[in-house]
Amino acid sequence: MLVLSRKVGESIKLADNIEVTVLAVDSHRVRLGIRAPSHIDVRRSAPKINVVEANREAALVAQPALGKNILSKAASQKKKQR
Amino acid sequence: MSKSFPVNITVESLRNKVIDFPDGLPGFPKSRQFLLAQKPEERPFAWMKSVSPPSLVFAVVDAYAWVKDFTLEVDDAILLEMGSLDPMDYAVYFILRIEKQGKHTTLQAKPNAPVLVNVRTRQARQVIVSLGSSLEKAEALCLQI
Repeated sequence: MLVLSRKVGESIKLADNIEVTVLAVDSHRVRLGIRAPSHIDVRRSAPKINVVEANREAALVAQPALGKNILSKAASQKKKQR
Repeated sequence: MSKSFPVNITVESLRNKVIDFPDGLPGFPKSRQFLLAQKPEERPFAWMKSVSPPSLVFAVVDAYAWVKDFTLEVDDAILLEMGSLDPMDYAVYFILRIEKQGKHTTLQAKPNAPVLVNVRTRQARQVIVSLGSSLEKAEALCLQI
C-alpha cells in the first residue's frame, strides 16, 4: 500500500483523470472530494463488508428452530404498536 | 443523478414469486434466486427463501412499513442497470436479523442496506445507502416479541 500525507486542500492524482482532495479533517473523520469521469464507479468500501457480515448473521440456515409462526407473531405485535 | 423513493410498492406484489440477484446476495454470491413467501397474516413481513440451497432463508420486512415516512435515494446508474428508472417499479425491503434471547425474540433491520426489486423484471439487488434522517431512527428500530 502506498501511504501519503496530505493537508486540507491538497490532493492526489490517480492516473490522468482522477483527483482526490482532502476537504476537511477532524479527530476521527476525513472528508474527501473525488473528481473522476462519470464511468468511474466510486464506492464506500467499508459498508460492503458490513453488509456481507450482516447478511451472514441474518441467514437462518443454522437456526430453523425459530418457529414458522414467528413472522405472524411479529406482524400482530407491530399492529399493536400503531 | 439519483431518484428518491417515496413510493409504496409492497412485497405483497411479489408474493410467491422468484426474484433474481444477478450478482448474488452479498455474503452469498452463489445464491441468485429467492422465493418470496408470505402468508396474509405475516404482512408486512415475508420469508426470502433461497432456491438453491433451499436451507438458506431470510426474514424480511417492507421498508415502508418498518420505517415511518421512509424515503430512499438511489443512484440512476443502479436503477438503469436494474431495468427501470421509475421508482414506482420497485419494491423495497430490509433483511432482518432474528435473535432469540431467553423468552424474547428480537427482529432488527440493517437500514442502510435495503433490497430493491424491480417488480416487472423481478431483478433484485441489495444497495448500500447513506443514512438519511428517517433511516437513522430505524437503526435503533427493532421489534421484540
